[in-house]
Amino acid sequence: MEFRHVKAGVILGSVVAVAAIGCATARPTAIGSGDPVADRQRLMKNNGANWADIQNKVKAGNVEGVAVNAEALALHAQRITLLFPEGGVPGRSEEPRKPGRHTSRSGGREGRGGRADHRHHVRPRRLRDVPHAIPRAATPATAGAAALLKEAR
Amino acid sequence: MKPTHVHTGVVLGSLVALALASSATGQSPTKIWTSDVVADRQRLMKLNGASWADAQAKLKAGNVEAVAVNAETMALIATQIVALFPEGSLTDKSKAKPEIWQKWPEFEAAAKNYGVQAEKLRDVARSKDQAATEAVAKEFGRQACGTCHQPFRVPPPQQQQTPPTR
Repeated sequence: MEFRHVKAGVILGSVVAVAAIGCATARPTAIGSGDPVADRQRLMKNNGANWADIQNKVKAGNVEGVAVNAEALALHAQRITLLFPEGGVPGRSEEPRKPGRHTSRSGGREGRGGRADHRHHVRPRRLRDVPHAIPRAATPATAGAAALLKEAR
Repeated sequence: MKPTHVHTGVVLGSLVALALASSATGQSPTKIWTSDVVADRQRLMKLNGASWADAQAKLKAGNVEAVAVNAETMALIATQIVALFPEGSLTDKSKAKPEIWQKWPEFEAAAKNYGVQAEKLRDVARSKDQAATEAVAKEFGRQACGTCHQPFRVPPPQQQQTPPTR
C-alpha cells in the first residue's frame, strides 16, 4: 500500500468522524412550534403586551413592578435572531420584507452586537435595573423609569 | 487522472461538505443564551417566579385581564425549558435532580404541561372572568410548577423555625 493511500485513508476517516460527530450533536432547535413566523409573531405580541404593562405600571406609580416585564423583554430579545432564519418563509410573514435583515447581521446568531439587537437587549436591562437601583420609598424612581421609558421609545 | 482518484475526490468532497453542514447546523439550542447553562435556566426560572408573583398581585388587586401578559410570558418560557437542560448539566449551584435525564420523557411532559397550564391561565384571564381566573390560579402552583419541581428539583432548604424565647 502506498503512503498516499494511507494518507488519504486517514483524512477520509477524520472527515467521516467529524461528520458523524456533527450529525450526532446536531439536535434540532426544539424551541418553539417549528413555525418561525408564528413563533416570532407570538413573541413580539408578548413584547408589546409587556411594554403596555410597563407603561401602565409607571403611570400607576408601581415602578418596582416594571422589573418583571423588562426582564421578560430582555430574555425575549435573546431569541429574536433565532426566529429569523435565512430567507424567512415567503408569503407567511406580515412584516415588510427587508432582505438586508439577513445580510447585515453582525456575526449571525451570536451577533448580539448589532444595532437592532443592542437596542432590544440593553434598554430593557437598564429599565429592569431602575427599580432595584432606587430605594423603595424614593419617589424619584418614577421619574427615573419614566425617563428611560421615553428613551426606549 | 485515474477514475479511482476522481471517485475518491468526489467522496471526500461530499464528506467535507457534510461535515461542514452538520457542524454549522449542529448548534446547541442553548447557544442563544450565555455559556453558563445553569445560570441561564436559573435566570429563566426567576422570571417565571416573578411573573407568577406579578400575576398574583394583579389578581389580588382585581386587575384580572392584566394577568394574561404574565401567563403568556410563562407559556413562552415553557417552550425553552427543555433546551436548557442538556445532559449532565449539574453543578453545585444547580438544584436539578439527576432524575431529569433518567426520566427524560416525563421531564419533557412536565415542561409541556407547564406551558399548557400557563396558556389556560392566559386564556381565562383574557376572558376577564375574575372567579374563573382565581380558580385556575388557585391550582396553578400545584398543577403547573409542582408537577416538575416535585420530582425534578431539589427542594429548597426549609427555614429553621426559631423556638419561642421566653
